[in-house]
Amino acid sequence: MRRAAGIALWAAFLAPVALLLGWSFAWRWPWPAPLPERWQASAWTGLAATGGLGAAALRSLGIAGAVALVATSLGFVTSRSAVEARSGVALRWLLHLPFALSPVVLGVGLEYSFLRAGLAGHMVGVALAQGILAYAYAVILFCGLWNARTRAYLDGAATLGATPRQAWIRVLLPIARPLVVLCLVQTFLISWFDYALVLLIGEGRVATLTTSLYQFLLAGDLRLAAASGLILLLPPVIALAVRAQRRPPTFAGEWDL
Amino acid sequence: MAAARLIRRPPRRARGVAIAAAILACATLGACTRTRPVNAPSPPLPASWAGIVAAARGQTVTIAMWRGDPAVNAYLQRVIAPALQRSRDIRLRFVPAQGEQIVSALMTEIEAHRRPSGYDIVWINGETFYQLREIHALFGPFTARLPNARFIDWRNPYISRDFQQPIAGYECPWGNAQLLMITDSRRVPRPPTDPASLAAWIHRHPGRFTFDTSFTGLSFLKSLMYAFAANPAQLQGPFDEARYLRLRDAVFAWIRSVRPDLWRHGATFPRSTAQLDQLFADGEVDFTMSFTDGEVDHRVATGAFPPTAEGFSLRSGMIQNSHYLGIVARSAHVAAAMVVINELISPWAQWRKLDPAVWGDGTVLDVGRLPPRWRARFAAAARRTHAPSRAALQAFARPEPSASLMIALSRDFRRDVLEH
Amino acid sequence: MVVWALVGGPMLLGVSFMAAYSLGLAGLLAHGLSFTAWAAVLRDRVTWISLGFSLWVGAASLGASIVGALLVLALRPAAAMAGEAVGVTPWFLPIAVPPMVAGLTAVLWLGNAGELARWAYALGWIRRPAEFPSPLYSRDGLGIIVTQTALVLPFLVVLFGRLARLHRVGELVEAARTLGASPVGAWRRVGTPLVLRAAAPTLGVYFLALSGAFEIPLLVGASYPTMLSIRVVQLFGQFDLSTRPQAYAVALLYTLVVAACSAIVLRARPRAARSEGA
Repeated sequence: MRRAAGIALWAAFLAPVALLLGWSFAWRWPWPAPLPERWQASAWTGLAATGGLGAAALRSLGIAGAVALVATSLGFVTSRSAVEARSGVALRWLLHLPFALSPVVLGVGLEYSFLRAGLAGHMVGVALAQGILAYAYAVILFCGLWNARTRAYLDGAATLGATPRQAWIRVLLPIARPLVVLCLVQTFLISWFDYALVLLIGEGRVATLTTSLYQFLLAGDLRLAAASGLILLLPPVIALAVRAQRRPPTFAGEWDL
Repeated sequence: MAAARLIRRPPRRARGVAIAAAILACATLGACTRTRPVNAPSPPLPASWAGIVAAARGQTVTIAMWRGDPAVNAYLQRVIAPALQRSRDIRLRFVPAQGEQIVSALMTEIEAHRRPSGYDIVWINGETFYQLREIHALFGPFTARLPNARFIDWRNPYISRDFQQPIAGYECPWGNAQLLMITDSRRVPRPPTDPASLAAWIHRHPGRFTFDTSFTGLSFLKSLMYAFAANPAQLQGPFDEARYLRLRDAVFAWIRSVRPDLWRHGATFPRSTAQLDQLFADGEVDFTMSFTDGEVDHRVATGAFPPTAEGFSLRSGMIQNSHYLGIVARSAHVAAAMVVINELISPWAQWRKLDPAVWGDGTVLDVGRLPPRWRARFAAAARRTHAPSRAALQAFARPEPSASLMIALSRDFRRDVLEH
Repeated sequence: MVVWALVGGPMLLGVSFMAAYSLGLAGLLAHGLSFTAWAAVLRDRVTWISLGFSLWVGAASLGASIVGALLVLALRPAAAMAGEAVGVTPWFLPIAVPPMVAGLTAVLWLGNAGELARWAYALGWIRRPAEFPSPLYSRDGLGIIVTQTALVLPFLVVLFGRLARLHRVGELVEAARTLGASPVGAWRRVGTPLVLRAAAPTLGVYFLALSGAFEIPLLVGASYPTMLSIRVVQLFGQFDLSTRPQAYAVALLYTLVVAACSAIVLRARPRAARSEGA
């Protein structure tokens, strides 16, 4: 019984992916055929040729990697001051604001400053804009690290004669490791999933996987859209599989947990 | 700005004033701006064409264009780009952006004092051209310097005038097209060819007709305006507000009368032509439209449309217009942009583009002035089986009304139809 | 302070630019202080309809997800824990789906000519695509709500499940049952309030994020009414250049609404939950 329910559940969750797979291998799939008329792999083989999708994937990967590394390390280092800030509630509000705000509105506000600074239309600009979101997330996440127990450990280390540097490396990092991994994954995904900021700050000149996917949709090519959608799914699914069932990734909840 | 105060939902009586004020505002926009027209390109342009070609070598040219048609994308990426790189050592880069977005992006650049621009060539026409001229975003005049421009059919008013506006060398004609209705002859053997019979058909077949809210759909509405006009001259020349209001109301009344029987009861409309094409291909609706009259053959060949798809024209008139290529005033690659545009209007590039197997876009060249062997090629490429020939369609062609009419219609359609 | 500067700095820049542009103090259309754009936006019926529509879609998506997630947890373990034998619980999967892909998937599954409609046809329930009751592109936003719920509900199952473990809700529910409560009743009376209280700030931010969604409404929303995020982009991309200051005014209006709402949502810091959660 439980086994059957499990299989049904998995089927329900994997069905959307299966449909994407089907479309990406379809030649023509007209109404009302429940299956494609004919199969082919040209959506996949043609991907590199048509839309420069390989380059877009690499670009997405590069931007997301940089965003994850910088936001996580910066967030880790600066989060303690955020916890100890006297204006805690106000700061918490500020850190959540980028998430509560629509990315489109955020991008519209930032576009001009980025253009003035010569950052619009570049990967660097896009990464910086996404970095604001990712950094806020990282600080929120790492604030959970600075609880009484962590501080007690650090105090203990100091009492036992450890230098601050030793305390950080020997005590804090081991405690923080799961959080750091989680933060890397999540900030990577914030960038990987983003469409609005790439669109507005990238001015269409930075083609990532999300903007390419939208172009295929706009051109009415569901096969290419499905294929690029599957590529978009790949890294998050791998990350999830690797992290299996540790802490559930949340974007705003960590502060409160 | 006093004009802006009047633009938003004025009472009906004041609407005339508002529209006039809006046009005045747009017209004075250039004068009010703090930016001066940028006429001198940097780096400076060589005096001779040979010098321009030499200066263009090794450059990358960024083209802002609508990327919604796979055929257009493939033509530029697989036919034009390799040829340009081989013969001229120029690389092309494409940025997805259409009309309004191009204006918005260039305006933001000017406001942020960005130079050089992030764009070199823009694919535009009509109100986009009009607005870009207003904010001095275009380089020119330049068409007289292009060697291949001598083949262009300048006497054709559908080419030399863009939405009633002389192009004055600030954009170069690239292609010419006529709006075409498309249906499946198996499903609709005798398609309706005027607004009245179309309305009757819609009432008999609820849910089987709609139009999109993008450029193509608005062009359909403009074609309807011609149907309701006493004579085509009413929609030509400078913007006449009283006439516009009368024809607009007639078109909106027509929409309201058929709306309950449109796709999804007219509560929503497809966002793009691609979405409308998809609805047609899936059999949800029986009609789609295309602003490339050679497109049906292409779509049938690629399997997107059924073999029984058939293009036809409303006998009450359909918009014919041209689309153009402009050079951005703040571009750092003006020379290379000119070379690219010159290649795009070469007989070879125009002939390839005309082929429905490639794109099916009409040429802007005067084929009669080309060498005989090109004439034969063009005649062969223009042949198509799923739409009437260009010559047959020409009788129903109507020129684009003024850009101001397009701006007003777009705004009023959203406000008075969509948002109700 | 670094954190204030890194996050607050860009936000402040953005807000001041939007304010300046909408008040006629910046941009090509600027001619000194003027409230015309604001007056137009505030008087425009569509502004308020878009705002209301955004909040409705956010609230409905979140509401449906909360109810669904609580139901799943109440019916545990058959449902919530099912699939764990395979290694990863499937509830994690939707977290890996970008909104753009979710929108595409919704079109392919739920459209009038989507996969479900084709099955319905094969079963003889419908004869034409138009007969399929697709939720997409409807004016009540059902398509957006369904798609967002499909993404959020599983996430809430995970979140609530974890909070329940954290607060030993299982034991409390068990205790309630020994005192005579029915399984579902015990969950409703004891488990639900505990979990919801612990999750409240997260849910509040989530509500605002769902109200500001862009990609999913773009793909499966009606042409009217639209979410406010889409309205902003619409005002930018209109053929009429004079609506640009209005676009900034709407964007700023939305920023202010969200800032106020999140201040309310986040005003209290749940200390108890924090100290236990470490």
